[in-house]
Amino acid sequence: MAESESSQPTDENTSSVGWLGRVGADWWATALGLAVTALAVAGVLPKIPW
Amino acid sequence: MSTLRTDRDTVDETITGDVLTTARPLDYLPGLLLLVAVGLLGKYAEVAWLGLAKRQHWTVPDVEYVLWAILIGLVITNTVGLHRVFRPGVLTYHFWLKVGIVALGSRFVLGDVLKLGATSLVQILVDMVVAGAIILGAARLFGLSGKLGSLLAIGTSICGVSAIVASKGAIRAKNSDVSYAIAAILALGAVALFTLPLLGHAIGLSDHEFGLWAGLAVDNTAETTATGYLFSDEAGKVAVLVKSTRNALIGFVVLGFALYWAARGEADSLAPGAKAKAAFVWDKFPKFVLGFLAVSAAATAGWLSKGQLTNVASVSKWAFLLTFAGVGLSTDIRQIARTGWRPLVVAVIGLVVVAAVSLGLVLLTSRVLHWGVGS
Repeated sequence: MAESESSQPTDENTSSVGWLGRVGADWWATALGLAVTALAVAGVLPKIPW
Repeated sequence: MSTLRTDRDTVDETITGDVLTTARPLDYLPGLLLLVAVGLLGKYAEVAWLGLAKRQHWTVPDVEYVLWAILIGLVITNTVGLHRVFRPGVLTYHFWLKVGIVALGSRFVLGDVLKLGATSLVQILVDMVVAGAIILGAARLFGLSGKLGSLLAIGTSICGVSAIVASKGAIRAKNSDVSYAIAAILALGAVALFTLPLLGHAIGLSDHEFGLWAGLAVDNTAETTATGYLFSDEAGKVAVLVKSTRNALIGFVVLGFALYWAARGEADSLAPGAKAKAAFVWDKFPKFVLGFLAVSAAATAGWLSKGQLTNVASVSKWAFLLTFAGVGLSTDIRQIARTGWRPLVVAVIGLVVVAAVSLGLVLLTSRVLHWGVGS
């Protein structure tokens, strides 16, 4: 098990980073920015001090 | 993208433009915490500095949190160095930049975005043609390879590291050329960051004019944002908008260079037909620009209360704070110094040309032709 775990993560990492990468940081950033705005439109975004 | 290039892995990350470098979420934690810590230190250093000056009755310049965050990051990376455990998290600073830009849409009325975007588009096109031609000429003069010249022209006149990374595959550039071009562009970004705000104040530019200038002249989006915000919040907003317009052109410019090199048999041919070309341009298009426009549309439609507008604007500021910390932490001066002098000279020529041409355009359009939104 330990051995398979030590060999597996490389493949998992590759495929997982690949999936994250395929969606792309652009789309992730857009989704997060839009999610924040959607919460604000719904009036449920908590007060964020600066 | 980053200038963190202390070993082979980092060179590869820089060249591929990876922001998400590992699949294990916990790997990002140390670097993210460091970004937050440096950002907070920068934010409170401004307050502490002004408080100290007031107590001691000193007359000192107001050193903005933007500069503090960058300087603290720079000091860490260039003294004790950045341990590899922090790297995945620090490299996410470009992600936070994009989140910040999307949220910044709440500070713009959509009509102003379109008006300023259209105005700056004309300026960008003039800037691009003049600067691109001069950089290609200078690259030839200094004996750089045609593709390195193309990369420097793309990076300097259009949109920095993102454009270079986007061009890499399309023009089949060598990794060494890509590394050189990226190092040169980042070195110039650092120079612009510290010199343009001083020059802007010396020349007496308004916030709007300086924002236009920074958006047109500074190559890398993170450095553009920092340069604008170093001048003022208003200048930062305008700089981000103009730079986003510039970024939106990446696909067209890369397509042009790809077609040029393919015609010479030195790059892969693109699939024939307008549909394939449109797909190529869309692939390179920065999608966060769409998010920015969507948020601006929501704000323009009045869907956000005043309090919630302030909240979304605060999200943008926090995201930018992480970006500024990341800019400092990922600027390795020793690595930049190891770059050959010739690409740097060509890039310096590029920066001076782009800065001079864009300043001329800004002054012409704002003071003679009275274009633009606000003053």
